[in-house]
Amino acid sequence: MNNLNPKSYILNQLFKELFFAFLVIFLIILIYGLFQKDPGLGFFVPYWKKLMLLLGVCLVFEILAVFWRRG
Amino acid sequence: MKKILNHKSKIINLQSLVMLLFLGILFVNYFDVLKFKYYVPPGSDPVTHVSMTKEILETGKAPAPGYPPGFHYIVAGLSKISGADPIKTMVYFYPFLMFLSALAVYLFARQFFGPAVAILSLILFGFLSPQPRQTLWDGGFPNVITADFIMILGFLFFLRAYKYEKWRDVVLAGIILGAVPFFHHLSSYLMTFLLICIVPSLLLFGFITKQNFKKKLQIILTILVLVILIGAYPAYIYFGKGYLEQIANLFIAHAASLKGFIWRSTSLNSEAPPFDISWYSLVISPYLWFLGLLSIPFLLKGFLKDKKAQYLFMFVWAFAGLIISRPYSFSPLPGRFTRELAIPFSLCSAIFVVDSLRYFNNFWPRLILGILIGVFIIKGLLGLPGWVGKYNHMVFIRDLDKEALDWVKENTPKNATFAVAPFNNWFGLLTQRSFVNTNTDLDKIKNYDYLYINRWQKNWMWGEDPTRYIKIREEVKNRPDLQLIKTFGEENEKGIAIYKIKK
Repeated sequence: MNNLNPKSYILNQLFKELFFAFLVIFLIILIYGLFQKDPGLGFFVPYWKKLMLLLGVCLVFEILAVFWRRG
Repeated sequence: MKKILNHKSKIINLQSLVMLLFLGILFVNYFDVLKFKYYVPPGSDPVTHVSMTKEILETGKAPAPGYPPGFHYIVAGLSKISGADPIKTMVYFYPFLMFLSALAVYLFARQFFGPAVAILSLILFGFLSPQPRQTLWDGGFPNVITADFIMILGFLFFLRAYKYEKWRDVVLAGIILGAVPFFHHLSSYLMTFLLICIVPSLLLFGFITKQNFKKKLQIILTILVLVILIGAYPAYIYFGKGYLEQIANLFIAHAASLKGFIWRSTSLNSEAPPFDISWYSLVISPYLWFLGLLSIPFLLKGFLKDKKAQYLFMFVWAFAGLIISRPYSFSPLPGRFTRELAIPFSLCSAIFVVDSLRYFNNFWPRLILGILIGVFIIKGLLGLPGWVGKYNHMVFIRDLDKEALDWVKENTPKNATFAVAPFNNWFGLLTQRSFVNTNTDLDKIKNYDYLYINRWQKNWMWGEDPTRYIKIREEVKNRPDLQLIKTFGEENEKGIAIYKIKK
């Protein structure tokens, strides 16, 4: 990371942390869904739009984190 | 020396784990067949597959061109070697297709993404994905052996040939992918569509990255020529124009006959309508669907930044698979193609898990992520007992049916003809007597020697409504031309009755 300027370094870390945070939230929600009485039709189908939205947010930070210049 | 020994024991441990996983896959897939003593494979499609195999055994060749006979020749060969009849051979061979499929997935992942991704793919695909298990238990044996085994092996050598530029891989890719049209028509269509998407992507990738583009172009063109010479052209000779038209029309007929193209696409659509996008996580399984989608940034990075062709291959495979699973005019069976996403999504999921754990190189983030992904996957594995007996309701021949059919075989003349009401598609294969399914129409039964009334049980295979079975029972009671000779089970619609038809 030494060859990054401080601003890039902070952004790099920020995207990485945000990706991690959203990934953890997303996985917890998925696990919560799996433990429901009917994980399929009761959880993954009715809430699919919300799940895909959260997945989308996660993917945005994941792309930023993965592609942002790292040392 | 210690280092070498450590390395060796690591390899042995890895091999033991892989062996254990494959044994687990065999156990899971053979469990129902052995525990519930299946007499026939589940579903009604296997009737066609067994009939074809039987004809190959009797006449030495497949019935008139219609259905690709590759799978049936294999079962006929196994039947000859084992000395078992084609039904028994099919019953004990079809769960093995899942093993072959898992083997192809493992080898592909091992070749291009390393042991960690390979083992994880094996777990995800072998134990967590309901597909291609669902396809298999629906009687889609040729589909599974082709799209989930032969095509994957073909892709393995195709990508090897592209990456390492060895002519041995080119020949193997050509031969294996060329075999696809002989095994399954829809898989041929899927393979054609995937190659149409993958080939230009790889060529463009080779051109942009300047990785010996000319040689790669030569290699890909040679593979395609081999596929046409080995697969498409002989298939044309063997099956005739009609068979290839099924595949080709969907692409080239667009220009030749728009009307024919739309008709063909929409008529096939009705056989396996598209899934609503909200159902994808259930069809493919939430594990593969969500983890697979999360792999997109790592796949992009793999080929855009790291210039690795295998990541591009996976990205295009999954993306093209998603496109063809939607109800577009060029997607003849979107519902069926959704199931075929299981393999690329298993591989993508495994890539995501391994790459994301590598990405978070600090202890705590890696541990938290590892635990969450672990819980997610373990929860899936805990659902395995739910598969026990899941497809029993699709096995049309149970103890009572077998008893009745065996009685027919042993106690009626070989040339006796049967009217079967309302239907039993396995009747001819299990009794070796000629028969006709009459449904509820008993007017023409005087042309036959016996009437076999099948039992009803609440299930879609028998029909959810017993009315027609009750109607048949009521009607035969008052008919003087029928003489009851044998009953099996209850003396109502839940039992089987055999009548002699008085002439």
